[in-house]
Amino acid sequence: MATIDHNGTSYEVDEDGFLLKGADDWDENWVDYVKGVEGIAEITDEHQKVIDALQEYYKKNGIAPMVRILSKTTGFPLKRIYELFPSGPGKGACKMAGLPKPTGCV
Amino acid sequence: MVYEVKVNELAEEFGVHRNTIRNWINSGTLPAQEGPGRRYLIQAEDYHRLCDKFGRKPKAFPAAQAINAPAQEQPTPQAPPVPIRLSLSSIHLFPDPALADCCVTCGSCAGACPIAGVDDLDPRKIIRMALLGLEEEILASDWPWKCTLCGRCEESCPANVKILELMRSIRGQRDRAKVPHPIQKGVTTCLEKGNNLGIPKDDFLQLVKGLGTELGETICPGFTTPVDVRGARLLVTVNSKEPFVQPRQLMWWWRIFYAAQESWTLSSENWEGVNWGFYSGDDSSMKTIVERIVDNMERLNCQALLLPECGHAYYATRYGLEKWFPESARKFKIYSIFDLLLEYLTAGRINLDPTIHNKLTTLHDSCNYGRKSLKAFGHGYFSEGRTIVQACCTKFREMIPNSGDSYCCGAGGGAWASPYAAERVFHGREKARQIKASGAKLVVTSCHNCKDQIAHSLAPEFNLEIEVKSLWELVAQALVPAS
Repeated sequence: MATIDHNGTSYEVDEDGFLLKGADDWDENWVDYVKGVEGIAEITDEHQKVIDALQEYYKKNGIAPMVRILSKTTGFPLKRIYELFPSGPGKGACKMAGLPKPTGCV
Repeated sequence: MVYEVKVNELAEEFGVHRNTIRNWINSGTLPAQEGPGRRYLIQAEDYHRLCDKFGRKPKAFPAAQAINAPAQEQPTPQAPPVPIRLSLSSIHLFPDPALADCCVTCGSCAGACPIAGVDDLDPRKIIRMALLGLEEEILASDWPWKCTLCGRCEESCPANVKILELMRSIRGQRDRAKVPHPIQKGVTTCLEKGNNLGIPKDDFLQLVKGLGTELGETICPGFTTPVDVRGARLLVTVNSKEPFVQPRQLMWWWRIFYAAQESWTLSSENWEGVNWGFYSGDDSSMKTIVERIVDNMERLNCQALLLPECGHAYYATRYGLEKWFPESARKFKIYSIFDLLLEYLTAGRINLDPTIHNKLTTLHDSCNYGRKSLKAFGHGYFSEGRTIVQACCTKFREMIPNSGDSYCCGAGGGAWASPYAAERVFHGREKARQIKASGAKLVVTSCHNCKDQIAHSLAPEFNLEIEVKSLWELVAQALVPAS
């Protein structure tokens, strides 16, 4: 089992660096850590909006939303989401929001 | 311990004439045997006795020690290796002798394998370990998971060892909790929720209907997405990746069906085409996922099935139909994407304008549609893809080698989703080199994994300035609207 330490907090992660315990371990410090990994300069309100939308949908459905739903709930076109999270909504955004990695050919 | 000495060296050491030494040897005063290179072999105790007699410190060194390195000290003895227990009686890993028994360890497979040598991987070792009954070791090894099941090894094997079947069998026997996490989770999600990503039914229906309306209002007047249309001729599956992250990609096929005036339908339930039971070596899950497609065919009273378009999904579904549902396989008309597109083309149901694509174009052969399909089903899709691509573009060039000898993109066998990213990229270096050497600016593939690997991994890693399209995207873009 891999762990990641950031600013004195340690997180259990899976083979792809996603939080194993999801919401239980998720905090602002984790967001700060993923920000560095994903090469995002600064967390803006837009990033926060995507994170909130992902977490809310996940709480309800137990999976990450399709990208169109994410677009709709945040009001951001897909292109903007990729600008915010260069590695894509399935990888970067889910990782930052503390969701597990999507389990398809994404 | 034996010392190796020369007569004149010994004479010098003891300050006597060399004939004196020879006399001692001949008379038996100094027991010695003739050795190689005019040397004599003297037992240590005899030599030391001689030293004592002359009051000298022993100068010679044991023969075993390198003559050139007399100053070296005796190496510290290492702990003996733990003996490996061979359990030759165990045959769980390969119930069929063709899976390992007939291997002659010639190494052709290792020569053909693009990742042989990575992490000490060598197909021969895996076969040998299976043969020797090293079950625990081989099941714990990551080798069978770093292999992309591309089948180049098997194609080059003169003994016809079924290496892929062995590899899947080893994957299948690993404790499910130890299967690479993303793969196993994909399988369980698919079994529980009907598709790999767990997309809820309502979300899916809303998406495909919305996309259909969009298409109907623009390029294809009057189009609506057919879902659960009973009696439609053709059942079409969906790769869950597309609704999840690339919904617009779904529309390429829909545009082709619209042009060909096909009677087709999606299913609202269990519409997944992806079958990761194939990757995890889990036949029972693989069968369940194929069975769902058969059930949808029956439920919707369809006559024909378009096998899922991704390479592994085509192979897994066709394999599953032939193995577990042979009656259905005979009853329904089964199309691969190549069969269907060619049928449309030759029957004049679609017309294509090749001048749409003017870049130099090449075709990447998917291992599952080509080499592996040839071996498993007696037909590999090589020429079909070329006919279709050349009907859609003006300039075509082959990669070398191609068809049955084509290199894997590196992302097969579940590697696109597995955690072994570095191995996956390394594996793809051959494909990247081939693409570069072809000079092509447009690479066409018939598999989602190949496409993603080439476009999102190989292109940036190996500085390829290319565009990558799926075959159906190429076709849809070249469609000439019916007048």
